[in-house]
Amino acid sequence: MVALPADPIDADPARASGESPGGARRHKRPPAVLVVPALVAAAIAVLPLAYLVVRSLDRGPVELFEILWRDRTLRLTMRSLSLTAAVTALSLVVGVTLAWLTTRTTLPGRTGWAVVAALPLAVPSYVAAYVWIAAFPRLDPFLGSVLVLTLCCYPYVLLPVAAMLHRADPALEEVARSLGRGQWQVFATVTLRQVRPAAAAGALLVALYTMSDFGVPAILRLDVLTRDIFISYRSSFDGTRPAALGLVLVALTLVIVWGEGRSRGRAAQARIGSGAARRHQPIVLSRWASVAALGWLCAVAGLALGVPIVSLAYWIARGSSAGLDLGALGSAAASTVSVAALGALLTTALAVPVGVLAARYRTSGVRLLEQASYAGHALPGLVVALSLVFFGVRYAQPIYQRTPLLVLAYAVLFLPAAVGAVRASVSQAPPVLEEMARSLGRSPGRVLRDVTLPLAGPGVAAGAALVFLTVMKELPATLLLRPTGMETLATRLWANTEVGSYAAAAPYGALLILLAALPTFLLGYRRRSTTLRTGPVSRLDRAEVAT
Amino acid sequence: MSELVVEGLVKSFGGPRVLDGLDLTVPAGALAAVLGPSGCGKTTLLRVVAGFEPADSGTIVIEGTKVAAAGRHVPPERRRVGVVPQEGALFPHLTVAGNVGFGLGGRRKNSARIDELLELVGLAGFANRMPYELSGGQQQRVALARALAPGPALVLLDEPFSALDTGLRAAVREDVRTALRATGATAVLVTHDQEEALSMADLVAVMDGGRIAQVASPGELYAAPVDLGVATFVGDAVVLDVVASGTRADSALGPLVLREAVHGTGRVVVRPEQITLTDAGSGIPATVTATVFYGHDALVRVDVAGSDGPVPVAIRRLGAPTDVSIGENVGVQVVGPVSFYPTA
Repeated sequence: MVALPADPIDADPARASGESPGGARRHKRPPAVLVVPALVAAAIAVLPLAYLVVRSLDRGPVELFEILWRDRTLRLTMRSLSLTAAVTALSLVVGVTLAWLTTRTTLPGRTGWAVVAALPLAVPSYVAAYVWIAAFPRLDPFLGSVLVLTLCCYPYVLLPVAAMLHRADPALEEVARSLGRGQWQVFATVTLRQVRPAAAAGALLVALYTMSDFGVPAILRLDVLTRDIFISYRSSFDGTRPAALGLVLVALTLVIVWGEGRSRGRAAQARIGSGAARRHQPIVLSRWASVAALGWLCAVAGLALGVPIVSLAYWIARGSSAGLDLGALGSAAASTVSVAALGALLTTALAVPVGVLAARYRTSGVRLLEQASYAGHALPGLVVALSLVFFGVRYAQPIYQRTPLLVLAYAVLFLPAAVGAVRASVSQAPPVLEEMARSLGRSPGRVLRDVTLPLAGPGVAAGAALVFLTVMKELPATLLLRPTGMETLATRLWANTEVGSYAAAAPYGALLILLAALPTFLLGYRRRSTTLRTGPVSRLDRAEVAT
Repeated sequence: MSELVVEGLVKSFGGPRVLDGLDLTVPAGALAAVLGPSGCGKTTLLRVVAGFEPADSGTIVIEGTKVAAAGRHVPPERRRVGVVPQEGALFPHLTVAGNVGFGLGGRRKNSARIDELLELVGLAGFANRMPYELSGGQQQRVALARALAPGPALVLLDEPFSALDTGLRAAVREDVRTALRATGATAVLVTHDQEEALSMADLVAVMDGGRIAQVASPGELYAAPVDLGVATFVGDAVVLDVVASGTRADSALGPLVLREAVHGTGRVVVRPEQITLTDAGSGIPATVTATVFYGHDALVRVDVAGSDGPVPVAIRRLGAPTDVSIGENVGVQVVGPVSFYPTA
């Protein structure tokens, strides 16, 4: 049969927008089998913040105001802010220059350098702090903290900027050149503008990490909010002061997270088309420029990787001559693995209902649930731990200083990452398969079990593995909430560093670096394909930004 | 007694109504095609019948059971409706047998039923393949077997052939038709392809603007469309202005025989294959303006003299139009009755 060409009726087999099944989901009510556990997860996620507010008002608003209105509070806040500003600025300089050198120039061995430049992700910041204080005991607290945190954090900037430089459409730069701009003018007027959103997003992550970090200032003895909260918690029975300072800290991290959300939106808009089909023509570096660039890369790599490796090797060699306590190492490793496994299990179990809802039902209630589950993203680990300590002492004595409360803290901290992983992997499974299963007689709960989770399984498992590896090197919550007598790798390193037993700390530091390196190597590839759409980048380590 | 009865179905997604008081009845064992242009709401109809979307109002009765009515929404898993979606949508983590057996629940002795269904769709021996090892046509057959396995009261097919190559499409269509007949299932096929609807279905429902414009057998629909819109949608049409008196109407193609007696001005629809070419001098004089050859048939376009200048007319003939040349004067003649539509 011959269709008349003028007939508009069967011109386009595509469906009208109103009929799209994805759009229709917006109006559907999510099933209770998901909503109830998701509500539990969200309640757990917001518990620490809520209780922190309650606890800081324990002695009334007047007392709280008096604590906040002291000179010392202002001094601590200013120091936290200046540390954050310095680390963020330096990370931007290091991250952007390294990203540009390794993606856009004729630097000798640049693909190798691109890998090396991202490797500091595998050094937990408190391990780096230990390494530096062990090597240079007279390190200035402020400058030392700036140095150590910059060396650990600059990959936050490097990775998104490198990705952007790689992806940006070369046509823009070519057009600028054809319009009479020189190579360096184009770099300043076109290229830098293209990477600005990515650099801003990375910088805000650096700021969030620095503001929340407990290990580095504590080990290097820099009086910032986190360290002061820890000390005043340890030294007094009254929790009001640490709780009040915790509120100040949370207020600061919330501002950073808010800015991060905004910059993310812009970065998404700034992304260009489906990416560049053509490669960028690399900028030819002169001999002297190459030497200078290599010198810069060697300096950064030497400080970020060379110092830890050499220092750890030195202290391990020194320590093993005095005899390595393998029993303590073994029991710390075993308890680390067991709490991390429990943490990953609980976090993933709580994340599944929230992630599935977020991927499948776009109602305002679901959006609120999802946002609540992201609370841990803005909360420093120390603050979560502190709040749960107070809560445990008062309302949950049976689990206080026992494993369940510690595992709960891990769940709060790493729920954002796990929810992101679940959501991303469920989004990739087509909803039509769930409808088929329904029409073949399966109830919503069984569809989840028989179709959704098997399809999303690999992604969910990868998220769980990442949580597992990240929990293993978590410091502040473990320090405050671990069961009496239990030691993990992180707390052993902490305890030995506190008393200056650097040789005894070294094997723990080496093991922690190996653990932290694992997700970077095992999951780096997978993450590359799935991140960005998973909502706020979480503390699932600094590697998370590796898009 | 399987049967689908839809009455006064209304559905909107917050905007204008996608289904606007739709009525449709499909008798037991019949294959009904819902034919309509893209965006006319036919996929929404299918999703509401399957239970994937709740209806705003109206009722749906499947095999005597009310599955949708005011305040009542039976979930899809309790409707006994099998669905074959556009791209098959097989479960990628299950084998062919796992897919076909999915709706059979925890019952043992499923393998006999699975083999029976795979045989029915011509895929015996494929039980242990994974979906990615199948061609598009094979995937669609598995999707049909999966939908038929639990013995549903109704099978819904959502443009199941549109993703297939033209060559493959005809073969898969025929197999699907045979399989549906063999099981005696009542089925609703949604399509925008009039050839597919006319060739496969026992009953064709033309859908437009969220309602069913006409339900009829394919032959009746093609020969006697209810209005000009349906007429031009279900096939090629030559539309002519006429003045009718009784069963006779005068047109640019001479006197025509009407199906029903009417009086007044209006339009008629003449199918291109109803018109034959004769030598110049007999029939109505016409001039050939173009010929289009399609292989099995051809269109010859001619102009006939009308009261307001030349009227273009298309004529369908079998074989190549080698005996006519452009500019040639010929005669044309209409065979058989035509449908009349009064001018509003």
